[in-house]
Amino acid sequence: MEILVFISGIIALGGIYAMLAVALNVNGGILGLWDLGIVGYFAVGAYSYTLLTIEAPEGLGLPMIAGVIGSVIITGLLSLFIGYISLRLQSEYLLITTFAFAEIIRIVAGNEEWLTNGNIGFFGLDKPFQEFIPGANYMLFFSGLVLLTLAIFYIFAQRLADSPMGRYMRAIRENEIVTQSIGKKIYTTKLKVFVLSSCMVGLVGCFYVWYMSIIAPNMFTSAITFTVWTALVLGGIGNNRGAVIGAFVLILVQEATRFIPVPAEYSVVLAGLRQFISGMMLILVLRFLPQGLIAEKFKSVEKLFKFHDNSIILEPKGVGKNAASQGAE
Amino acid sequence: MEYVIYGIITGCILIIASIGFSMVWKTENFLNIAHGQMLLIGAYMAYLFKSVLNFPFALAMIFSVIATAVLGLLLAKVFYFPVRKSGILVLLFTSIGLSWVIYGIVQAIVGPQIRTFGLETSNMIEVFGSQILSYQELFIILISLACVFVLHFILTKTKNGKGFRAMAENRDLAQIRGINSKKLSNYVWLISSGLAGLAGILLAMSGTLNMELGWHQILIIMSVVIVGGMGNLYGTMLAALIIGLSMDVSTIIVPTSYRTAIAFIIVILVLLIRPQGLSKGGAH
Repeated sequence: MEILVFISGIIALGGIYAMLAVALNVNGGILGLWDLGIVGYFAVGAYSYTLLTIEAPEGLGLPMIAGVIGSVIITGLLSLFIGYISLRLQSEYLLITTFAFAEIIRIVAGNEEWLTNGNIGFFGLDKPFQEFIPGANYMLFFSGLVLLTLAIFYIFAQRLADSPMGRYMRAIRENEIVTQSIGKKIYTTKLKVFVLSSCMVGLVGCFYVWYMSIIAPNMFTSAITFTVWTALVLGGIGNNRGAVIGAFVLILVQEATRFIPVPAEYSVVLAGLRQFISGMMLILVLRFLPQGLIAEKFKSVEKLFKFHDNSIILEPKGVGKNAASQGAE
Repeated sequence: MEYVIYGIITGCILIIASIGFSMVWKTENFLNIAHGQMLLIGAYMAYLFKSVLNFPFALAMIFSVIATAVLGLLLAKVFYFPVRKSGILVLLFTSIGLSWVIYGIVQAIVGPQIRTFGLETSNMIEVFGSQILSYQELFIILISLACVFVLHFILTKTKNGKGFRAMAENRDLAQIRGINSKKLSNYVWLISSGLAGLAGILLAMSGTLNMELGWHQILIIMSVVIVGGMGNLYGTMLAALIIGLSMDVSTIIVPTSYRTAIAFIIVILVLLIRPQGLSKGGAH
């Protein structure tokens, strides 16, 4: 029984990171924005949920569902502001700006005690449907809830990636100037996708609060951003399935080291080892599988419209297909 | 007044810490996130020599700077050079992975305790009847000034320095003109890591030595380098002083814990007004 609770705990945490990785894949992978601020929207989502739902003196005491919706809206508005300012910038400059915003959010959360209770934060927070499910089974139920939401995230991101919008996003990633020259609005699209992705991250923030049942600024360090990016790179940038698999593999490897029985004085060594393994995995994957565990795949245009069935194209089938798919890449 | 002094000291340490980062960015074209961990390595090396092996502090400092420089070059050879062809994104993530590896190893060895070098507090220097700074702080300022002058001399007067500047502008063209870019980039990694180690030691001298040093500093270093303009060394020095000063002077008005937030706000403001940084660092 205990092992089941432990496994479902890992699944829940892995699922939370997988959702983050899928959300990051939408703007970081498919659109190619170098966004290192993901932990900022995560924190905003988590904090606004907590402040909306917790009882009177600190929060508003709203019902849980209102808290979830409210946190998504607040995260969206904030990311609209951040995106409006920073999306004019390119690559490294965008990276450092989003990073800077995330750090500012964390510092504000640690210092504005009237709002966030400072570094102590809040603890003993309620979880959804807690009263209906006995304590022992709760983690099992919660991991199911996480997996269900992950499935919705995955289907949504997959539909988005296959849509005309998805192709257009890839076009921006591959060559912004050419995309602009065929009359597409680059900045507006980036802003839309950025806000969408941040809203998704904000929603995951609620799950993180439920999982931890506490909230404090030190839960939202830049290590989370790096973990999510690592998961995405491991699995394969631009690929939703890769994002999910990368997140689960990373969390599994990190958590599996907790099984190794060692005396307490070596726990620090083990903690260091965990960082070491994550870093080594990232380096090795980049060296030997630069595309990640699963390379990015997408339906090419001619497959989508079944050109090869009608065979309007005059060239022999194979050549035409190759040329078209090369164009799509 | 004392805030200005603190600011200058912070700025001086930042100069040393960011020049190396800036040089690597300029020649290798990627943000070397692991640079922050080289600060950590330098600081703990000095701790090893000073407090464990009981070397005198000056000797410990020299040894650890050399050791960090050599280690930095080795790490670059093992981890970065083989993936150079795969593009800057791969290099960037490799450096993030390397940061984790270094952080993990150092953590496993030293554990989470906060340490200090255990230097005795030095006397204050009196100027016009008021005590303004200690000999230690004066030492930090002098060291960084010396570094800036030596580096300026190397870059403008020596053959390798000129080669470096040519390589930073256009690597292929420099190679065609017979500049040995392999040898030069080895020097860049040596200097960059050595300076990082030195900055780590100075930082630990003026404060304490803890595991998070590398992660904290890399954020500020990136801010400095971005504000200074891409890979522009003199812009970087100016930006380091500006950010150092504003971080410490701002503590008069806002709580101390907002110190780092100030640095980030400056970055955001500068990028809004001048998307390529303070000085013309050259477009992509």
